[in-house]
Amino acid sequence: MYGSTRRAARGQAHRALRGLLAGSVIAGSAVIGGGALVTATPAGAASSAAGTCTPALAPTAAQNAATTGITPKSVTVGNVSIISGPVPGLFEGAPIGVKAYFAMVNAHGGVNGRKLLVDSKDDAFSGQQNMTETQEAISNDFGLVGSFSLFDGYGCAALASDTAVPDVSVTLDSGTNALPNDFSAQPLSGQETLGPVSYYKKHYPKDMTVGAIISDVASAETQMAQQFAGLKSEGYKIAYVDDVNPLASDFTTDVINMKNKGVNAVDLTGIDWQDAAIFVENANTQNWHPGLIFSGGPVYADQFISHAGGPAVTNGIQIGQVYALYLGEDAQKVPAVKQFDTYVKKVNPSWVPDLYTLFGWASAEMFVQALKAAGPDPTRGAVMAQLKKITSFNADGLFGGSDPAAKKVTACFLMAGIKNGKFVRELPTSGGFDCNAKLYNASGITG
Amino acid sequence: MSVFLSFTVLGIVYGAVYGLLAIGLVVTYNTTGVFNFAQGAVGMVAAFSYWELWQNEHWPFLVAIAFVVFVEAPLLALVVEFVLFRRIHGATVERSLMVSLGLLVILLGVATIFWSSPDIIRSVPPYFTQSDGTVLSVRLFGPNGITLQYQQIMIVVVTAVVGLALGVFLRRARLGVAMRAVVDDPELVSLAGAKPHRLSQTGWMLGFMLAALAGVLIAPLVGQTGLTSTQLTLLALNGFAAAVVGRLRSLPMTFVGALMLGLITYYAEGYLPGHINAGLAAVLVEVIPVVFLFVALLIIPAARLAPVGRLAVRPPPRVVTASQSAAGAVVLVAAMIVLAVMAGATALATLSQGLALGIVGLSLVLLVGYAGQVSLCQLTFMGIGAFTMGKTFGGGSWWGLILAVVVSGAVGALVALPTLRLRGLYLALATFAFGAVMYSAFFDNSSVISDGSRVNVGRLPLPFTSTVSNEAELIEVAVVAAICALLIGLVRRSTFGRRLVAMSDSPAAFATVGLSAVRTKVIVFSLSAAMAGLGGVFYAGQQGGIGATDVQYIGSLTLLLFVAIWGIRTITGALLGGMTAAAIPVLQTHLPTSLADLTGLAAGIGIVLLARSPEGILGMTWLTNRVRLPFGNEERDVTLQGVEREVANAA
Repeated sequence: MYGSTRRAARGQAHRALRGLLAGSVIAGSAVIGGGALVTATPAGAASSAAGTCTPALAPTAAQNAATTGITPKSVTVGNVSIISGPVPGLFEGAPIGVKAYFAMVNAHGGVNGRKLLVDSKDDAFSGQQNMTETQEAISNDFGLVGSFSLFDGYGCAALASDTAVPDVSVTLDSGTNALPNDFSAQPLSGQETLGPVSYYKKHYPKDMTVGAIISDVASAETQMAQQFAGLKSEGYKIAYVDDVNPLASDFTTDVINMKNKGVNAVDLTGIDWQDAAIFVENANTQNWHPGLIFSGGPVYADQFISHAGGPAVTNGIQIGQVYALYLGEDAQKVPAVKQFDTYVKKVNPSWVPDLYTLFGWASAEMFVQALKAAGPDPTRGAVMAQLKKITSFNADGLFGGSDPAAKKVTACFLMAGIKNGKFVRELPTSGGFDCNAKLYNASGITG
Repeated sequence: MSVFLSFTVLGIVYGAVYGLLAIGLVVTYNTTGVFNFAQGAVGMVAAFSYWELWQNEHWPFLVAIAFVVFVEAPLLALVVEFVLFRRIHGATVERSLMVSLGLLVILLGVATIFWSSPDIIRSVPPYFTQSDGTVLSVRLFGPNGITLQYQQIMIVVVTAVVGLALGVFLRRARLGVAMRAVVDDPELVSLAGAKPHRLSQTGWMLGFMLAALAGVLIAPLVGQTGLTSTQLTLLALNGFAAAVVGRLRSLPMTFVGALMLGLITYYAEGYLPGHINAGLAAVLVEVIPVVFLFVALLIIPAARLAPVGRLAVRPPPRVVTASQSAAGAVVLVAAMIVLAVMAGATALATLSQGLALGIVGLSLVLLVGYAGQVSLCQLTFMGIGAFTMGKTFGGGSWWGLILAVVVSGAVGALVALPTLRLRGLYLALATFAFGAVMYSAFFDNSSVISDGSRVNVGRLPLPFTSTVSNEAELIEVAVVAAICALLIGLVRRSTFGRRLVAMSDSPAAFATVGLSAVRTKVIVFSLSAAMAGLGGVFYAGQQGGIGATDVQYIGSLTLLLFVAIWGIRTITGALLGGMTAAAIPVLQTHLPTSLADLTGLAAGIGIVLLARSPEGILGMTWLTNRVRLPFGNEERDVTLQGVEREVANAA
């Protein structure tokens, strides 16, 4: 799922130089004039930090009754994402997705007569900045919606300090994921669907020796460890694994090694589309054509095919993912895809939707669902109560599905392949998702 | 065997890439006396310009290349030479480093303005591509061997030819010899009828043209799926190691160094995965260039690492009196108490971070300002202090603080020991390499600190209270900064302080009179690192932890830049440098996008100011004549008026 954070990994390597540009390499203080409250830290004890932030006690009545960010005419939510930095616009899709969904809702009169607004904040690829912007959003906005950052673990402490503040965002951080006020359309459950792996085994029975490239990022490594467990459970042999150097712009050594080790199935789930494209191009240059090349969502990107060398080189690459083909292929089969693409275009005509745009859209949808249910005079506590009731969510068919309240994913998936230079749905061909697969985690099949 | 040969060929190809970058560095250094940290950034701007003209403006690609290499690069060189470098001829190492670093910041800023829109992927197609998209290539070692693209072969050939031609030019041609001579002694060259400025301009033009050539040649290799401004700029850092193997003088040895680096890197990339843990393999491959640089600096005989040009000598920093120090400390703490009452929470956090970085800045005053030992790894020491605090005695305690200071100081001494024989630029590069290794292998290693995460660090506990509020934390760090400032003044007034200044002024004379440079250097490195570690404890305590993003190795250069802009030999300058470093990103996030490139602008202004005043802003005559600074006006006014005024005062 997060293989596309490979691009972010490249950014991590380059954040040093970005620091020169933005100055935040060595700074990182809170924002002047924002009016945010920086929580006093208990003496002698470390404050909350990524992955380990601990929620405060249950919210007080005053916190539950808070209507920060709400006026008779509008509801303003915050969004803290990486916008600037070494890879400009890295997760710019996140606020665009939220804005697009809000634009659709606003076009139909808003929620109880209130327009929905987004206070888009940029953590500028800085953990400290993420913490500051999250605090500011908590002080000024109703909640957080659709945020996406590699540094959301830094903002976790702020969210944990007031658990009446709803955070409806896809998070990469286990600490944030565990907070009672965090609701994700794609929660970190430690589980994954075995569907794609079973599909590969069925359709490519001879190609069972796997070589994999993994981005040197924790989220990608965790995901790949899980994926390897699934592959092994189906009898695959993992013959070659390489954590890619963030500066890598060539994978010829990996191609030579894989060729030498008899690899015939290449797993590119752990890297982003840019690196996957380079790998495929390198393999083609070295005249190596493994029987199976597969990936999760990362290679499902608008420019992947052209940058990897065109249809002749990419035909046959397999994609197993838990999202609809949101670039437009599913527009006829899934109405939400058409809405998504239409409103993203309205909000930003030049923007090509990516996974983060989809996350933003889905998060906004989940928030609006809870906001509507909270009635005409919503408070933070009331919206939180409604969010806790959402036990099944698939963004009108854009996602395979999850249980945000229980922080669980489902086994639903779809398969697509590249044919004649286009992404083509292979399973289920009629639309929707196949939900008959098993779930597994790093230690084996779980359900 | 074919696998080994394959890796060997690939290593040679990428060694040539490093070589091309390194040759530009060496030529610039020999013809201008400046080790240009911005060499990669010049190549980056050239690569983007090439993309712009070829892909966006649809110029014929050969015309685009010719324009970028032979028109744009020389013109840029002339502007840079006139505005920035002409003013600092013969300056100290840290000044010339800072100016070239500032140039790097400006060029990154330019790239941000013109080529950062995420809506466009700036991909550069390979050279020698047929109309059907096929990239021309040749197969080696049979059907199971490897395929080399023509463009890869072209890079090897171009690097070899350019290196050879430049070697002959600089050694044999009259102009080449004159260009090297002007770095050593411009007055003597002018006596011989040559024009030093013109020769220097030619040197800069040549250096920029080489950087541009490297940029346009490498662009397709790294920009297949889109150029990024940082990637090309960072790639040039790998050229440092090769340039040092050539002792920054020998082009053939530079080329050999580059090939060695390319081969080692590719053997590691090829053979480590599958034999050791994949994550460890990635770390090892990543640190190879900087480890190579560090080792090269340590094993090359000191006599061969002589700098080009003259040794810059400047008057010793003025001694701050005890009363001035005490008054400054009182003013600092009093001002922070007032601000703690008045300022909002977010401003409080900025001030605390600024003061914590100011303490790290004070460590630079001791090491760079007084002792003349250029360190480019102070944030590493800061990180070690914070990490130690976070990992011991519960994460936030007085015992943890003491241990953090001790551990940082000990690591400082360990860094000093192998680098004892290095000074100036070479010491700077060695400390840079140490910082880079520590960043990649330790702070950015997910087995030490998870990606995007950090080590929790608590605030220093105070008596009679269970929590340290933001206000209390600001006063706490202000008191510690004041104590550090007093300590710096005390050191400067002591015998040890005079030793530091003497060692900076003339290491040879220092040794001749029987003083131990070894002991002095180890002590000052240790003291400086301990102080940086102390700053780290408060920096991390303010934000609750320390992570890789806080201690990036380039950040050490940035902090040095800010402190140098204010005045590297002044206590006030160090504190203001820290404050500046903390304030700029905060201000930046609140600026409109069109003005967001504030840092580039600020750096540009800082560079111009620095180029005008050898002692930074606080050493400027107009300022020292008018303003009485806390901790005294430490910088000696070396202008004629300043000396006259001092004589008059003394009389």
